[in-house]
Amino acid sequence: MTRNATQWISPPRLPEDHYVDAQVYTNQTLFEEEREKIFARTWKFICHESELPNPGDFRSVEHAGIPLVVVRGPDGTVRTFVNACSHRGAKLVIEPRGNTKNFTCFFHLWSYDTQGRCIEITRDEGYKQCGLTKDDCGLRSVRTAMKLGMVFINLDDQAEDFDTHVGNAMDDLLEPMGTQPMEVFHFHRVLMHANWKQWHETNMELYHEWGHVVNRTTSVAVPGYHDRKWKIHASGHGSLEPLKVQYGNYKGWDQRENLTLPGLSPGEFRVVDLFPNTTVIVRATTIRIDTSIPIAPGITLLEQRGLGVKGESAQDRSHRQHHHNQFWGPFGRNLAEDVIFVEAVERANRHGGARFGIIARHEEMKSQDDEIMRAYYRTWGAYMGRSASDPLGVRQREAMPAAHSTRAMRAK
Amino acid sequence: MSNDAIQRLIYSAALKLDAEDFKGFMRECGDEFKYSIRAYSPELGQDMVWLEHGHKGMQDLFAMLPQHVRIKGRFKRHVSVYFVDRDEGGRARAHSSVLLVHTDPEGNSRLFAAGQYEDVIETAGDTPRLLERVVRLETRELGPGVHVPV
Repeated sequence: MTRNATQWISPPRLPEDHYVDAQVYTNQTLFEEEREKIFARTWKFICHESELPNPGDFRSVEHAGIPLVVVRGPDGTVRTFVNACSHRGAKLVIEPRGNTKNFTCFFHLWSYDTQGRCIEITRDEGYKQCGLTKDDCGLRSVRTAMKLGMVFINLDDQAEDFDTHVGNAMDDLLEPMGTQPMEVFHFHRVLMHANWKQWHETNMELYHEWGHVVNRTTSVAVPGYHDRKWKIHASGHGSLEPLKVQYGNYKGWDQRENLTLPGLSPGEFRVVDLFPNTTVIVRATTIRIDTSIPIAPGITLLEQRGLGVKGESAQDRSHRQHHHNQFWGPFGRNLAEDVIFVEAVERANRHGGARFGIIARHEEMKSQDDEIMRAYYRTWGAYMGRSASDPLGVRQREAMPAAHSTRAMRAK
Repeated sequence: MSNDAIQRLIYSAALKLDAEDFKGFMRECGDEFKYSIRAYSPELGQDMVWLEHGHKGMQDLFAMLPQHVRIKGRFKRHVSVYFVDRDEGGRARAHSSVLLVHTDPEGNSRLFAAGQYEDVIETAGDTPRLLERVVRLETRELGPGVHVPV
């Protein structure tokens, strides 16, 4: 049966956490609130330590619209600073990566060491009268934590510490990522016309695996696929019990019997979703770290990293890279399709063509149960102070006068 | 074998890829054909391999294409052969520029990728054959990505 206009814009007859209002993906005000209430307050994966192997190595990155520079100091410690000169605010580091002893601003040549201290103010005698000194002009330090080679940052100095935030959500990665040093061999970005949460959903909502021929053949069709259970962790994280993927089911692919990462059986798949927008996917021989940089409600910059074992032979690296590229990378058989899927949703959401997204599947917490997404949006709601099914608080406000009038009638 | 024949091979291969005549493209390739797409990452400071296949791997990739979800529209390869160098042993090396233009179903065209072809071509037989193609991409942001070779 079709639905008329009124029915189409009416909320689904479902519990309020079983659907999301499409405005969570499209509304500019909500987007700006997310930057303030989520991205400026939560721990966010920013790069891998192998991108900074030596003292003085740095990476310039962006988070929540804020330019940052991550640098390994002479003491080996990885630190993060807002990438802005203390003098006039010019972006201090322009290059995406490099090695340096000091950062010197190209505007007025103020300099900082790799621990963020201001070490040079050009013609500093000009500031003697007002009493400004180098000690007043250090870079803005950003909290930084490392786990399994992944570097996380938090813009909020008052936020809970990283270990509390992540809890045991990354335990499934301890052996594959923590037994031997890993390094990033693949990096690419995708400027996607869709909301950042839509992308993170693709890593939680496995029901969509039916849409990928490669996932249908190598995973969904495999015995045990529907028996795995999600683990819902505190703070909006999730992880899924492992699966032995049958890569050989896809024409021309090998079974991935060799080069298996520590702690895994051949072909084993694991996934860990970290709130708000990072996912680590383990596919037997190689790992993908997937994160995003929200640009606008309907524009997201995806960052994709592929990891192998540091110091491995060229032959092993080539083999591992081949496995990575089968699924992922800009020419992979899977990742491009996810972009096409979510962009199609965004096109319908953009001007209200589609109004709600249904996340109502119940499968006893097994692979294609939507509880992982419901838990994610409950966390989102806790940060935002409202439900994802009523993100602008419309129904909340509508309900309030009724409550008031009820109270008023009772008073009479 | 003339340079004209070698250039004709490169242009003909581009037209076949544009037309998604993948069997026709593979007929332009030798049995030991190797294909790769590479790009330099300023973020990592190193070269990356984004696709790498031999002859059979390419055939398998093409065979599975009809089952994949792909961006709608057409790709056009604009190729300019810069030069052809002869090797001893009946081989030539050709260096070309390639621009990949995507036209969506509404007729909007945009530059999708810029790069270069580094081809090794067998010239010993009656007709030239592609033995190896390395695509060096300058474009690293490829939108959704693509399922077909550049």
